[in-house]
Amino acid sequence: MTQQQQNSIFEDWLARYRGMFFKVVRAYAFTPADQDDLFQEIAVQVWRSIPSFREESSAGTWVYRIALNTAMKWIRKERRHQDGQPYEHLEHLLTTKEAYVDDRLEWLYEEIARMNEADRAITLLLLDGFSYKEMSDILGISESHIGVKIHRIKKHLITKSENYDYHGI
Amino acid sequence: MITMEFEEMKRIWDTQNNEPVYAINEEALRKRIEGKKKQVSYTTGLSELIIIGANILAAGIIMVSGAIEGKQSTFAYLLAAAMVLTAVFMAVSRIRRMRSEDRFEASMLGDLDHAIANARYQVWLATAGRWGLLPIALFTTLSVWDDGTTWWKLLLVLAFFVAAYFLSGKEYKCIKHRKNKLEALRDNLQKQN
Repeated sequence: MTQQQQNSIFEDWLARYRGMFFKVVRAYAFTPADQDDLFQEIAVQVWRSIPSFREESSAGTWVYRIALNTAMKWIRKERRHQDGQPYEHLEHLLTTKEAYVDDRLEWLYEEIARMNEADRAITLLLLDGFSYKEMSDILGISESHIGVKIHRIKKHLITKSENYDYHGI
Repeated sequence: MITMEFEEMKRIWDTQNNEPVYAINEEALRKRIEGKKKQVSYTTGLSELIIIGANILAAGIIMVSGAIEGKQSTFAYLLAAAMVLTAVFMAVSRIRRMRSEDRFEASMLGDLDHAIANARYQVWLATAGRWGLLPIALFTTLSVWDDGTTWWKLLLVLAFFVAAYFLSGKEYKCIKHRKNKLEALRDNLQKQN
């Protein structure tokens, strides 16, 4: 594969899966600096992975796998440098601008951020409509284990939503 | 009691635009910066006091033990002098640092600049500490060797200083990473403004 082909595939993936990149970055990194850092890391890893892509899975699944694995590695590395303050207790610095604000989406991201890194990945994939098999391929966990985790995650989110303030809606 | 069904969550999730535009939660940012400033100030002050205290204590022990035993090698005196000098140097640096604390304005950027200044000072402290370890290691080794001790004790002392040097390198990297993060946060904040 020539460098030009690799670049062209990368640009195509970046345009097609931009939304997915944002979701993963937002679920794993909370400050502008961290989000830039993680986005850059994911972009580099996706670019590097292009020659190894064999089309055994869809490009979307492949890119999601790279992004999630990179985010999980990144968060472990970052945790070693944390100031003894767990991510779960940090208040979010970033909110979507007024035109895009949906309180329920903000709430959802906050709940995802409180989960452990593996559950975060499963929740993102679940919300993005991936099948158990695809999730299993991406995360390297058995389908039955995924099933158990999904059951727990759904139950957890539904229970948490009881405390969500609907502002009279 | 109202609960949200998972299908509803998925529907909310799917409404996301492909290009979300971010805004900064100023209150959260202010709290975060204040926390970072306090934390950096606390760790800096603590590091200084530990360095001053440890050096004075060690120098005192060397001098007192020499006086009690009635014999002391030149290297031990040099070691004690190096330790006292380190403590004095650190005390002067601490006073200068504390005097400059008031020059930061009472704003979010001022707090951040304050935290960055302390983080830079910590990086400098870690670098100076690593270099300062070399004369201490040299005089300690020479002093132990001059005392006619066994070779394995000498090796043990050397191993201790190698480990201390290695660990101080780790600490240096950690502090530098923290400083870089603060600087990146300030750059981002300035971009937002």
